Amino acid sequence: MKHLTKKTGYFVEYVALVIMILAVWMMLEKQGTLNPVILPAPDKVFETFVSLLAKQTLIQHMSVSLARVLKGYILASVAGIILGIVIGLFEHARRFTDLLIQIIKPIPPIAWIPLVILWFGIGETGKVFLIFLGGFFTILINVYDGIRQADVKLLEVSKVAETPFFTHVFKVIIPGAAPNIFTGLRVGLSSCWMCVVAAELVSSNTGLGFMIMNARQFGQTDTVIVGMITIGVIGKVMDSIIRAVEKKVIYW
Amino acid sequence: MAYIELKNVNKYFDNNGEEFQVLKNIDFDINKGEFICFVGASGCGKSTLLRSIAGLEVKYEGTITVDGKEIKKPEKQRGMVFQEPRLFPWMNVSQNIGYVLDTKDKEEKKRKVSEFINMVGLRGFETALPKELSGGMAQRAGIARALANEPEVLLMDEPFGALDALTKIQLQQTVRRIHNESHQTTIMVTHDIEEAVYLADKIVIFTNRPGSIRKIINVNLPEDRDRNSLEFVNVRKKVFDAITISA
Repeated sequence: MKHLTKKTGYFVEYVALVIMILAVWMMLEKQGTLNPVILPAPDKVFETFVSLLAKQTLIQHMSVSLARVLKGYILASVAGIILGIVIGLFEHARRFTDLLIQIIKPIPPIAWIPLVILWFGIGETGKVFLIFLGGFFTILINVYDGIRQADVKLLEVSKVAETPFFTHVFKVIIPGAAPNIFTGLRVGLSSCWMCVVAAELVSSNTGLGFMIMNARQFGQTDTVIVGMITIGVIGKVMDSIIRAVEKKVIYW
Repeated sequence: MAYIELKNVNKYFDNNGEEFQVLKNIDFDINKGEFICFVGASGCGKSTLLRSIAGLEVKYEGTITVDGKEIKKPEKQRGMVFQEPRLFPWMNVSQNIGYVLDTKDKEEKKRKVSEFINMVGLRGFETALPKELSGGMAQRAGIARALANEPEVLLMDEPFGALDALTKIQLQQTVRRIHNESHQTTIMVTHDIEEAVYLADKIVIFTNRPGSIRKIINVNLPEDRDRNSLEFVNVRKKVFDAITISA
């Protein structure tokens, strides 16, 4: 029983801030001080959400965006993890690539949009490439930091035992870097979502980013907010999934 | 020719461009099968010397040879037990010990792992993860791992320094028993005089920094040692005096 109340307490703590913000929002609406174009009432937003669901437009936009994110994210993860391990393992590879990585990393993916349109046109490839760019560097840097920060004391155990290189990499280096790899995967996912919206704002007629931009032109602030919250919720759900996987994988 | 020969070893550390000496004119021999203890104050360089014999430190003047061959890098013929157990947290006890074995034969590997688990008294803990082990049990696993390759030389760097008194005595007994059976050449760094007298055939006493050899004491006690016997106490006093008098 005591355990249960504690858990309930934690849950209340967890959701309190969001509920408080919703409450303030509702109060403002009751006072009649809200201009619905600037900030529509919460119940209006909810209504819009339900009607967008009913018309299936929300699901359509959502699945298009989700598919784009997954494509770009998986490419970024695979490339980031493999290259991160190689760069982390070999000092020469790090020196060879460091300058380029450090220069490209601070360029926001949005700044790539003009080039991407020129190179790939306004089709899917360009969008996936932007999402890939968004996730790739974050994942790459976390992975190679994890590899390079390996515990020297544990590395000596391999040295003394003259462990073959690949056994050492797969059984010691990579498990040791696993927490950083997961951090990279989680932060990288957020970056990917940021990029999909940016890409869809520019050139698209589907996706949540398009939905938001399109609604803005018609003054449908409620739809804008529905789009924003949808992105936030999907991001949160995906992050929770990665966390759950991490807990299973990193059992020690 | 002695089994392990240290010839005029000098070592310097670089501290922000300032060089200071850690080891000075280390020159002595170790015979095959001997149990040697390095005793000295913290920072006297005894661990550095042990790491040099392991091949983990290679920048020094002079030469160290094992069986006539100069040491250039770590080799699995020289097993090492560290101050901390250094178990891989993601491997259980069996996997940690099996990790150092390079036999491809699964049955052979299993047999060896279980042999060394029994030897150090860890039977029943094969599948335990390091986080589930006490300090003493973790160090037992560390010893089993160092022994698993059946190295010709066993190096131990203050392996019981972090353990409580009772656990320490138990582990000393385990090491004594294993050495009595295997007569493996063993070098152990310690600052515990009683531990040295209980285990060693020869005790090498170091001066403070830069570490040089103050004295080598032959223990000459039987393999089964009684810590409270007169002979034991006499040797202990001799070591104690050698360390304190001119310190």
